Amino acid sequence: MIAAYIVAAVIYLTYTWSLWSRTRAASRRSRDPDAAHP
Amino acid sequence: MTAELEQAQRIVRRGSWLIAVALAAAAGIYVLALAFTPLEVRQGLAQKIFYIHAPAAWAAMLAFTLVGLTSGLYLWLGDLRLDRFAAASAEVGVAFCAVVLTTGPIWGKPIWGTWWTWDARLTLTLFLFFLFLGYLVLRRALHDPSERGRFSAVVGILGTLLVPFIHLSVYLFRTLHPQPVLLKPSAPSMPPEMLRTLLASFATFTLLYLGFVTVRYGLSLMLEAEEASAGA
Repeated sequence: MIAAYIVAAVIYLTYTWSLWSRTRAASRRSRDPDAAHP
Repeated sequence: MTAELEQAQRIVRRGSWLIAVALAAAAGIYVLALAFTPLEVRQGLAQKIFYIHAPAAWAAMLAFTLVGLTSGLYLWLGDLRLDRFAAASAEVGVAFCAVVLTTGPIWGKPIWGTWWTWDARLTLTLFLFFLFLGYLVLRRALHDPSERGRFSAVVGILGTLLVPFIHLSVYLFRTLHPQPVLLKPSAPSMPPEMLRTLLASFATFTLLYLGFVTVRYGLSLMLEAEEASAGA
């Protein structure tokens, strides 16, 4: 039963991290467009 | 920095706050469900999965229903914001559906004696999950925004047609899955302490859905602004 709570938390936190890393990468590219296209 | 990019970053910031509040509330739900909600007599501890499984299913069905509605409106009005929202909602729906499909079997093993059975509701939910995974893959494969919007809107609408079947599957088919205790025409069939936890959980995961969709929508805007500046 605790396993279900852990699995759900892992999925939610992984998706949160995925959104965070993608938005961070996009805003970094917008500040320095040359870094994305060397 | 362009006005579009600034707007996108504002949306992402707003969504991030929503996610932070929702995740903190979810931690509270965990404590409430595990420590302050009574044990169900017949199922014991396994029943507590219900407080995270049912709200995740609600959030997934809400997400996919909104994909269908906004996709239909996109085909009618051609407004790119609707397509952007549909894409965001589909991705978030897949995340919630993954929670449903993993927590369900963890409950099924002690109660049914098996991790999985090809029951109507389980099978249809698995199909829905794969259908929206396909939707997301299709979006990545198409580069023309108009073509991507139209093709994925059709897939999104067809996928959403499964949602009412999934909700009604426990009435339409002979199924092992428990009947609804909350989303049904009659009054909720559970004690007030359990109902309180369940309602709080529904509110929390609806808020988490809103936070995820807001950030995902803002991310789409950021990527579009990037494409526009690269093409300019």
